[in-house]
Amino acid sequence: MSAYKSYMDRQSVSSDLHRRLLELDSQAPETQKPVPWGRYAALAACLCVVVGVGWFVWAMRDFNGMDAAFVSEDSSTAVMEQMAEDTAEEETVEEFWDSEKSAAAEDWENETDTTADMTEDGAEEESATEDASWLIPGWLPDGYSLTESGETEDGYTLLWTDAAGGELTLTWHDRLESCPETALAAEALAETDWAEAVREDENGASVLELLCEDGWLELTFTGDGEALWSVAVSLWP
Amino acid sequence: MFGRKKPPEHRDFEALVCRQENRIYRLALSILGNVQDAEDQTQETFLRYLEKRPVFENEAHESAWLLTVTRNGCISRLRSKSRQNLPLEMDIPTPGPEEREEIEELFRLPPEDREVIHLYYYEGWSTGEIARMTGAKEGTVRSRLSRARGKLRALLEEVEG
Repeated sequence: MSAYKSYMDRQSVSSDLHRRLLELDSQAPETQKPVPWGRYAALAACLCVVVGVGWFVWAMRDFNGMDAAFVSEDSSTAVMEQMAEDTAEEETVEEFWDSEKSAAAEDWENETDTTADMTEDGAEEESATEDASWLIPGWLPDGYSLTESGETEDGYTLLWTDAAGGELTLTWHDRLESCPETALAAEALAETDWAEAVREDENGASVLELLCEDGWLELTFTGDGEALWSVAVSLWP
Repeated sequence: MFGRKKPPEHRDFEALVCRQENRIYRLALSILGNVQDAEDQTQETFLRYLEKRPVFENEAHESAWLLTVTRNGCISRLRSKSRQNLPLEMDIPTPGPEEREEIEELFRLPPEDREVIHLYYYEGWSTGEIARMTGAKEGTVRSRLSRARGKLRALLEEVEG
């Protein structure tokens, strides 16, 4: 390999290339040298973002609670009036339904089961069969009405009926120790002086709010096929 | 009267070019076997340095980084030419009469063998260092080196015979 070594020793860049290489620095765009603490700065920035988002979520949670309380206290009378109107409307719809019952509604009556079940360990299990999914999106808020409510052996039951005769039963169980808010809300709802209101949330989902002195129960009907509805229970602060 | 003073980064780059340009060019020439391509690759290596501006721990680290960039650039060039079905034209400076046989036979070897021979015999790198640079196993580097030596010996014997 001695020939190779001596040959390569003689090879060098041309003077033209040497000049071009030296000029590269002045032509190249300015780039910032990486600083040793750069990675720690990036980590710190990420941490700040996480803390900031956490704080924001926490703050918004408090804010939402205050907002709901404000709406409820100020509009309880209006909500009660709205409930009376809804009841009147329900009668009209029921009359209509008595005369023209659709085949779809018959199917629904026969096949659907959207009862909230209770598991063996006392936890509330919300269920809605696939058969009911096609009805729920259009069910609320148009034409639904609360047709029955009352205490059962182990809790409190609310039953809604829609214009097509579909039913949704929701039961809160008194023995539900894992979710004390639910039990408290059930107690509150057992009183007669509660009102209900329907609104659409920012995602277009139907939200039913049940308002009472001690708190409110909020039911969200997303109707997206997977999570047909969800239940959120809150109490006044 | 007095020339404009250059910033320290520029002086550093000048020193780096003077220190490493020939080493980079020689590796490129050994792999590519073409003066023009080797010059282009040398320039590209320094451009890459200016883009990244890595901080080196010592001169060995500096050499290793620059040679690795050069080697990868050369492989990319060869692959690119191969994809475009362009011929790999050998164009190396003419060797002296006593070097001719060995140099000509050596440049008949495939580029991956020339690369290993250059790094091992000319740069004095160990097979472990070459393995780290090329991303191959050390055993693979050893066998490639042995194979290259065998081929070279056979070629030289053929010429002499």
